[in-house]
Amino acid sequence: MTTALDPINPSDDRYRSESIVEVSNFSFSYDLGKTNVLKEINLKIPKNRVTAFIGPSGCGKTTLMRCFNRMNDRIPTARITKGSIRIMGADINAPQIDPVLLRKEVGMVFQESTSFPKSIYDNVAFGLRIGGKRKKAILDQVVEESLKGAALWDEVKDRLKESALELSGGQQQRLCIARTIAVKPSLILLDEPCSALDPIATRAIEELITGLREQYTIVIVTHNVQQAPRVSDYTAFFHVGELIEFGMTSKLFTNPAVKQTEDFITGRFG
Amino acid sequence: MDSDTNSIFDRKKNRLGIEKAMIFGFRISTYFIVFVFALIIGRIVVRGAPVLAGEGISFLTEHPKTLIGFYDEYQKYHRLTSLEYQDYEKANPEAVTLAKQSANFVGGGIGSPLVGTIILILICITFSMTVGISAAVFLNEYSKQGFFCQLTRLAVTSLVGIPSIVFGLFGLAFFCYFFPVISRNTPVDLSKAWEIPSCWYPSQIADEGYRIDVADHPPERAHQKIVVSKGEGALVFSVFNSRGDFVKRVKQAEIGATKPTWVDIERDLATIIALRDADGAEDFYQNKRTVEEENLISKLRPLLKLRKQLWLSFEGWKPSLIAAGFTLACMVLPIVITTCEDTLRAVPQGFRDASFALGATHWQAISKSVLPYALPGMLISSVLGILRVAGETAPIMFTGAFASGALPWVGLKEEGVWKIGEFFQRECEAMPYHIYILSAKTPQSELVRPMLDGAVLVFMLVIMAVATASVMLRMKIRKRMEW
Repeated sequence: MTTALDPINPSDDRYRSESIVEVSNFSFSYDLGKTNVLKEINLKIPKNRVTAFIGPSGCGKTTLMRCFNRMNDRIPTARITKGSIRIMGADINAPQIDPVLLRKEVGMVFQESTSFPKSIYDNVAFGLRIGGKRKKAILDQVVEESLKGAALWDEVKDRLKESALELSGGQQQRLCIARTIAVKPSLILLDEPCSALDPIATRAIEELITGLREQYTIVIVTHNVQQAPRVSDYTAFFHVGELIEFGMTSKLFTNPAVKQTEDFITGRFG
Repeated sequence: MDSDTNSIFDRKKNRLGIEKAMIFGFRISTYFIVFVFALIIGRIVVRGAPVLAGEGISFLTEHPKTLIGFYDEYQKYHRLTSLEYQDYEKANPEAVTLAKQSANFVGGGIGSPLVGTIILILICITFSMTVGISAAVFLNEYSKQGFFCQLTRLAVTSLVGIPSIVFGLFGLAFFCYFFPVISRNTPVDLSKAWEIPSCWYPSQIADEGYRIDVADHPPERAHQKIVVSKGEGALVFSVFNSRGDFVKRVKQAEIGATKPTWVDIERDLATIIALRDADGAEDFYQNKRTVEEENLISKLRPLLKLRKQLWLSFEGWKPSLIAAGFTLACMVLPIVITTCEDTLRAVPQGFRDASFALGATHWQAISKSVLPYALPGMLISSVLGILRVAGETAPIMFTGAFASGALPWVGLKEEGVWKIGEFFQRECEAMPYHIYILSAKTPQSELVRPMLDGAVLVFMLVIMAVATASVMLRMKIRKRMEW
């Protein structure tokens, strides 16, 4: 299978914005290279836009996303078998790259909310504290900014010292986003952030994402095909480890170039 | 209607015999456990409770004493401590004592064994938790889950099966006789030096050499005199008893050096002085100095400097609190490591991932968002294992338990200064050892019984109370730590 779009066609709309992530010929394996779960992916993620990764389960969209901040380093048998990923111009898998510094630039929010059993304040300040920032004035300011950025400030401003686990699922997920933007990353990865949330909480997150795109580049993996057109500017459709189609969301959803994409977004498979 | 009794669903048509027999068997087995439990607990309580009630709180605070039991001329039985017996004898000089018996460590209370056991448990917890948590963190968080890791886990689980007496002998060999220590003593060949009492220092120089007075300890050598002379090219230590009879001669070559040079001789002398409490010896020189001593000091001065040096020597800790505590810790380590690993695994992976995603280093992720949530569970789960070994006699009987009626810190304060370092080198009495001594090493008589019953009851109650408390705390923590 090949992508329908010419990956180096400059007239393609995906090159209009400056790209922050460049994935070139990228192949990835979880079993020391025996089988590739990602096969020769070529992708440029535009800056200050929301890019959605869609596709059926096991298509590799989360795997690719976890490669962006090298979360797969923790899996001993994971190997990059081919190609490279450049983020802000740097090959992130080069030996001189420190994954800890990379992850400060590439934040990630997980499927299940992973708020720590600490106070709301401590959750948001976590990234700053491990970064060595301890001045209370700075922490207070960043916590407030981040919670406001995550549209959570009004709900929690009176109970910052209470445990984060007392928040609702949607609030916890927004807290995780606040925690991530407190570190001021350039790129935010959202791994199915709404999969465990009800429609109202989902809507709050989606509005938040739309608001955040002014300042951040966002990549969101979603299982929910309807969510992609609601939140994203660009959409990439994956199937069994291959990038089938990548383009502007409006175009991909109204006029898909590949039959498989059409089948998927209309719900005929996947 | 007869169809009720002859229906195809009739009970009698089913073979209920086997069913009933099996249920009966299971029931009996269950009752057997309850029976054994009740028998043990009941017997201990029934025998021990009157002792506790009779002795009251003094049973817990007083230390074991020697008791003397006898009948007087009116067939009345007396149980007196040795001091009380002396008073009794003074008060009734013509008293008749019939069937007089005496037994050590059966009077008073169980203060010192209880304190000793608590100290041992604290040492054991400190060491086993430090090593156990570190090992569990390494195995669970850092090491690659491969062959080495599996091998380590196998080794850890196999350690559980090693009998406690083997741990005791291991502790004796490793901690007591081999463990490298930073020592102020000059290195000595202990296999040869053990013959030399560790308590000599020269007091004056006789014509034939240095005469060394033996200090007050050990008592049987209290009045010995040591004469140091030069002979056969070596230093010769002649030992005389208090009456002036010659006892034995120890040649310098037998202490350490094989080629006797003056340096060696001096070193051996310094060894002997150093083996004696170093500070005491120094004071001695400073306070009373005769001309002969001045001569001796001028010879010894370089050696006194030498003595101040620190040496790493493989002479072990000797039977001591710390050796016993560490032996117990080694025994409990497999349990601690396993429970700590389980607790670590129960901390959600998401905490680690989220920390990494926020730019945490590996250690930051573990220290900030894994260990704080795992530590209470680790501590409480490990306490159960530690209580299990706290009741063991075998690991401590060679490594630091010592039948005694005194607290381990008695005599540590010398001239107003607490010698805290020496505290861990002391031996102590511990509950299981106390019970063992009373039940196996003391001739059984009515003198022994009450102490034994009371000690067993108190020990059991203490262990059960701590165990119950930790189980309840663990349940509470599990509830609180639901994420």
